[in-house]
Amino acid sequence: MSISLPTLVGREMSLRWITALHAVFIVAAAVAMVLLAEQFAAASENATRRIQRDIGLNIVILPPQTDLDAWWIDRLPTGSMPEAWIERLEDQDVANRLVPMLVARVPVGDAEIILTGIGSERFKRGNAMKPVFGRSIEPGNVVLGALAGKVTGAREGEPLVIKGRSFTVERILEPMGSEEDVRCWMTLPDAQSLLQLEGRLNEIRAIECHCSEDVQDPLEAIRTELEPIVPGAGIVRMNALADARRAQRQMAERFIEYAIPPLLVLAGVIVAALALMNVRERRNEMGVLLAHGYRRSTVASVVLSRSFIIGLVGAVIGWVFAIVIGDSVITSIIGSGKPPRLDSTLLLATIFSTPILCALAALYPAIMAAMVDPARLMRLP
Amino acid sequence: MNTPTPQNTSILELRKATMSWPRPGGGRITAVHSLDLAVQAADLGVIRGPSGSGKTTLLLLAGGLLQPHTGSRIGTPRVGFIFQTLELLPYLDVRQNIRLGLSKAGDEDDVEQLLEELGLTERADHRPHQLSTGECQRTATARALASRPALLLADEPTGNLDPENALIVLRALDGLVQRGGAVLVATHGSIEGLNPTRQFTMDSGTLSESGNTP
Repeated sequence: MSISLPTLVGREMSLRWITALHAVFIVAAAVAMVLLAEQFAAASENATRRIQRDIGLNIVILPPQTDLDAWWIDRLPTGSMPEAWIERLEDQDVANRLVPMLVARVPVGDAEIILTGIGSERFKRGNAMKPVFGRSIEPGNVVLGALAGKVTGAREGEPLVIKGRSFTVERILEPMGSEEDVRCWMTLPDAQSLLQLEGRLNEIRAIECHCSEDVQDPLEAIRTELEPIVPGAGIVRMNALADARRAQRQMAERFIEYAIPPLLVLAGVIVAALALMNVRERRNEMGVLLAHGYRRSTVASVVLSRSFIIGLVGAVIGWVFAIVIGDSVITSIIGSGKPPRLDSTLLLATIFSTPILCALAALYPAIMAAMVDPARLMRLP
Repeated sequence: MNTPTPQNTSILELRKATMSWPRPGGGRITAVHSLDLAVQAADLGVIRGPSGSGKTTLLLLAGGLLQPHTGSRIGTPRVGFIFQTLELLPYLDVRQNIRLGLSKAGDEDDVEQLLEELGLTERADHRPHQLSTGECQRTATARALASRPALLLADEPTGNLDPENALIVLRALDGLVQRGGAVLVATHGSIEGLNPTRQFTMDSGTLSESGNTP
């Protein structure tokens, strides 16, 4: 080959840089949108976690023979269940982020608080996730809700005596406007020891898993799966919380589901159309190359290489664009919190896959170029 | 440049070649009909005829860019083309356009020699849009010669050229013939300064040889 492929591609792109730039910007916009959508999805998931954290866990598993009417009135479980149940509950698909708790109303001085022993968050099928609900409390310490702190007269760093045992007040929370305000949090073992209920729980809280979102009766589905594991347990689903969570998650998933594929297809079609226009404009050039002994595969490679380069440059620009504006855009959409950083694996995958996808989009134009009849050069004066 | 070796035998033959094109509105129009042509080394042939007489189709058949519908093409000489529309690649400079014609990479000396022979040395780094018509024509001629063709096919190689540029091009074509290469030139008129060894006339797809000039 007397003139190398890179020279042919590079010189042509430098001459027709405006059309090449159009294609680059389209690819860059598509890449940026995909990256931003992924970042949005991650941010949305975080937002879901925050919302859920704020509104609480929506599935409550209570000891067998619990009077659910009474529980709904005072939210205090009766009886207890084995702590080992929490491990058995890992083997199901409808409830995740299982939090073992031991809850009791206890007097502190002249006041009453809801003593809440809380254990580490467990995950269904043993899948490790970033813990959200488990409170990190040192043994021997307590964390008090705002009202609990007020009625007991406790101060952070000072001791608080509960049922004759002294605990250190680790922190007093800000008012939350919920039952959390009257709780006194401590580790599960401390609570079990204090209440003389070693190895026992009386409440397991969890998040309904989105695998039940398509079922007609989610509570029935949850009970059907959980009852064989924890026979006789009371199972409560807090509908409002569950529905809010489901709606929030579905919104993000639908955005990804509906917006991204058409966007990718549209970008591919535009890249292919631009490549086709480029080839139509350059049919005579292709004919010249063929008439001078260039192989048809080489002529096709000219078109494919051009699209590959456009894809590579577009991916890098889109990548930079997403990084530069991503945080502010996502924050505007989600409304609060710092969005997660773009996944570096996704960034690398984008850089590698976009040029290949662009080359694939230019496959038909490349075939058209390779099929040019060099005889047209003499037939078309 | 190396010179093709003169031979007495034909380097290319078209035997009873017939070619037709689709006619707008249906049917086909016969561009060349049962055409016989034998080209020998060092031939300098001129094919004259009005527009639409089949000259270009004949060149396409001779160059192997078209295969005849009936009849045959015998011989596979290395062919160079000078297209009527020149078809220089707009993003390559003169030197690179000429290099495009190299049959194999590495004959850089040929390129420099052709630049000098066709008076393009000063323009070697210019792109086609920076050249005059004559310079473009000379570049296209140099590109065709760069492939060291045994047969050069030229479609109106001096059309729209001033006498000075036409002379440079014709001198280059004559140089190839002197080195033993064959040249077929298609034109609808006359080409002053060209001394053909063979003259043909195309009329309605039929080729007739009107005389030889020794």
